[in-house]
Amino acid sequence: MDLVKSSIIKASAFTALLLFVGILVGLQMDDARGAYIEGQLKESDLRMQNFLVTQNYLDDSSQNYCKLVERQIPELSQQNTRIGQNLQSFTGRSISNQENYKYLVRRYYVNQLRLYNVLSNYKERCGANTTLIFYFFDDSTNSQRQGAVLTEYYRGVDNSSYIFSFNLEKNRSSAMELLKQDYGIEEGPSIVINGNQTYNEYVPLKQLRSILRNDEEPVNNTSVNQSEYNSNISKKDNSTNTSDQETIEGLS
Amino acid sequence: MIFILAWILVSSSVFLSAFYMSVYSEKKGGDMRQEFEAPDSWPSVSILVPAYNEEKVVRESLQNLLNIDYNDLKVIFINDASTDSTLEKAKQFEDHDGLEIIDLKDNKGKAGALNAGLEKADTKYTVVQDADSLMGSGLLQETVSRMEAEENTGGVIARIAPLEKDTFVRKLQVVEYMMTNFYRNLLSTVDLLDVTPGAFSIYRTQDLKEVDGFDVGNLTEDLDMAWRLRKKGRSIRMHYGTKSRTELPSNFRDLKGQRVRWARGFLYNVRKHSGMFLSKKYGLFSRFHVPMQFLVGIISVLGLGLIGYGLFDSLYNFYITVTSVGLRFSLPQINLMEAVLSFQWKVYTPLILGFSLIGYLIREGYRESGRNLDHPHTLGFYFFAFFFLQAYFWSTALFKELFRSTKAWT
Repeated sequence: MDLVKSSIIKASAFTALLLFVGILVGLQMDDARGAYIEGQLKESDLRMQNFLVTQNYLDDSSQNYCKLVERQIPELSQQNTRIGQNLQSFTGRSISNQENYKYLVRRYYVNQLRLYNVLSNYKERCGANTTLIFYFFDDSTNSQRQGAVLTEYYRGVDNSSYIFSFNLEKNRSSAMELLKQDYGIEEGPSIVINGNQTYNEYVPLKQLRSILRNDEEPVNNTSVNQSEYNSNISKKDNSTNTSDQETIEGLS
Repeated sequence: MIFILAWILVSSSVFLSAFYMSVYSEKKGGDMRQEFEAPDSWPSVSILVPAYNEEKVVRESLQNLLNIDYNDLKVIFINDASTDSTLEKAKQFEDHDGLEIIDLKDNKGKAGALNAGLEKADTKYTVVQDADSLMGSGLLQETVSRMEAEENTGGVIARIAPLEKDTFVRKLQVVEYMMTNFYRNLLSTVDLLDVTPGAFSIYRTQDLKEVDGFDVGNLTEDLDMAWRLRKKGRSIRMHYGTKSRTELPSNFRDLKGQRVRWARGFLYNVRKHSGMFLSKKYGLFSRFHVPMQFLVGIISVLGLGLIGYGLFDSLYNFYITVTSVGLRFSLPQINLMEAVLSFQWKVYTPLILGFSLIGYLIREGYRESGRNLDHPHTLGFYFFAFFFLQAYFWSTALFKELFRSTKAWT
């Protein structure tokens, strides 16, 4: 029986060792996940700064500005989408340093809002037929459905629509809280289209397409809607700037 | 919660493999194939062959037994009220001196049939062998020699090999039995073996009679007998150098029937012998081996539940997508770095290392058995998917036991 006892001890030690190695590798990978997203965010920051600097350098010519946005923003948006997907996917895999994770999320939201501001200005200055959608989601089934609907919608519209998603359950930040407050968002799924139409419910694909088709038409219809929209955008610009500042201060 | 469950699964698998590895590293070489000197005079032996509707195999089986070159040997064939031509075929050998045929008018089940045969056994040793099994050359002499040499041994078993390897399910069992034999032999070397399979087991007749024979109605009367002998203070040993060939289930349905019966029998015997569980009296057999076997069964069920949950979750997500936007196909963008980072390394690292250990044990199992890697695809299936089959059988058995489903032999 001595061999049995010693084998039990050896097997227990070996199992503990393997689990320990698993934890070590897992922790290393957690760090690698954080570093990977950090790298993506830095790249995104750099591109955005590059855009802003170039924008300042250019004269006031709308033509130059519009070309610049059309050239640079789609790529920046795709990169942000990728960062968002990674943050979502890595949440399930855990990033052991939760503080670091929250920091990355906050930075991501800052980037999102910055991009939103640029696109809003672009829409205004260039008269672009661009749709900007805020999407707030939680762990509910309807949020899952809305996510699928938006993904499908986005797939068919190339660069004419931009979706900015926010996880209401896991990724809290001052920037997101501000948006929630402004648009009266309490639970997911909720979508805000072009800053002026809020839907606090699941919007099926057919309905979403119909809404967005109708949304394109009023551009030529009434100036009231447009001015309301502009003031809304302007309000968001101010508020998000505050939020950016607050968030960035929070980070430093 | 899921993460903890996954860890428990991985840990138990790694622990068991490491345990076998540790025993093997100490015992490989001489202890794996012990040789025993033949006794000065060969003791008397009875072979009990219970049969119910075995017309296809009975002739070959009796021929095999009656051809054994052993002086004091009595073959007791028990026809358990077969409804086919089993009895007629057995009677073709009735002129043979060493054969006694018992014809039961009512079907008593395997244990009942064995007990009927045991009443007629007046020899020192009694072998139990299923009617669909064949003894390999020298098996009887080798195992009798061991029983004679080891006074405390209450039962000796042999390696089990398949009679036929014609279907995928049988080929799969070739690999499975090879590994089962390997593990049983390791357990035998450290005196933890606890099963005396029906394909071939030799006992001391006196022991069998002292424990009042086999437990009628028990789905795994062989396991029960081994446990009762262990409670009696006897050891069960394996003689790895000898082989008994037996007919294995040829298709999935039969395999499921057999394995669910075994699992239910195990659960029944755990209940029946619950007083033995964790008892110091029976040493590490009852404090380690039996609880581990029980835990492995339960953990495999939990593992299947975990995998089922994952599958359900994926299907549910798919359902949500399809009902929201219809059926859409698009190739996902694959980024190697992101794929690597998305991996659950805390679980998969020990799992991969544990798999390496199992792989090593399988290689040693092949080496010890002297087999070649003749069916690589079945080995692959055994390595990666057999766990799911076992877990499925265990889940079915557990479900049936919980809902007190009628016990059946198929």
